[in-house]
Amino acid sequence: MKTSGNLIIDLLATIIYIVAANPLITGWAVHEWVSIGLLLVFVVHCATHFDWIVSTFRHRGERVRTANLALDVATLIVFMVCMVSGLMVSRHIVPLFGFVSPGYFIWNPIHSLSAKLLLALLIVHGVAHWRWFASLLPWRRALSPQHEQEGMEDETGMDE
Amino acid sequence: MARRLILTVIVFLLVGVVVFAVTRLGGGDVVALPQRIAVDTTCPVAGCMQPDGACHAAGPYPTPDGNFLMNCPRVVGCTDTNCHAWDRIEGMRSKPSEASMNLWILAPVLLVVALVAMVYAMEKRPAKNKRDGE
Repeated sequence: MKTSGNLIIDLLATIIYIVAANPLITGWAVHEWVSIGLLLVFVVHCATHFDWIVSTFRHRGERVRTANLALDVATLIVFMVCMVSGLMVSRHIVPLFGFVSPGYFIWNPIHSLSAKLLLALLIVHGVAHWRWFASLLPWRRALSPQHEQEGMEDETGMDE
Repeated sequence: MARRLILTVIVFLLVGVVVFAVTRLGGGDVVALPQRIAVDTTCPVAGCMQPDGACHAAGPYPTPDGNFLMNCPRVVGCTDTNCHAWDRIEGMRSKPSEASMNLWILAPVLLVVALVAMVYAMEKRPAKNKRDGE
């Protein structure tokens, strides 16, 4: 996928995440439905980087790439813990379909904890790929076109 | 792309199933798949039953009237018509808790990122202008 496509997906995911991560402002109903949207965007985000993931699994010798992959796997696990626990304490979506989930007092603390952990991991994820984002800044592109190339090389497979 | 999307969805589903299985392993029988709401379904938070079988998970909530018998979901065998779990339902369950500190973490992070971006831009722009002048 082209760089612009990746950037649009990343920006969309960031905006949707910020909305979903603040139920205090949006309320539960928006929080739940927007979180489902976030799941869909995350799936697309991972699918666009599928080749990079497969390639890193095959070439595990490179430390930076392997560390990035480990971070991404940890983020995926925590994200799914947050999604599953979120569905199990759902006040709107699950009851809307005529279902109710037992185990509220187990799932609720898991959901709160995983949400905090996910926020931390996503910030680290963003920082880990800062070169790619920096390479897309308009003034940096104008200053030094080779920087963009360096950024792309760091994100091998990100722009395929 | 379609093949990648399908594989990604499968991976997400697998991780989700593992998360549920591990939680069930640790939580025991209390952790189960969502169940269809029936007349005898109890509220997962307050343990009360709705006579018409409609779950009030998303409100409106019944108010303690001295007749509505509640079974505590945490303490087995504890039933009362004026259960002290009402505070929990009317507070945490019905509206997000302020303990959800995402706003207070996200806001400073966004502020710092914006400031760093601004400083970065200000540092780079004079260099660009200088180069354009040359």
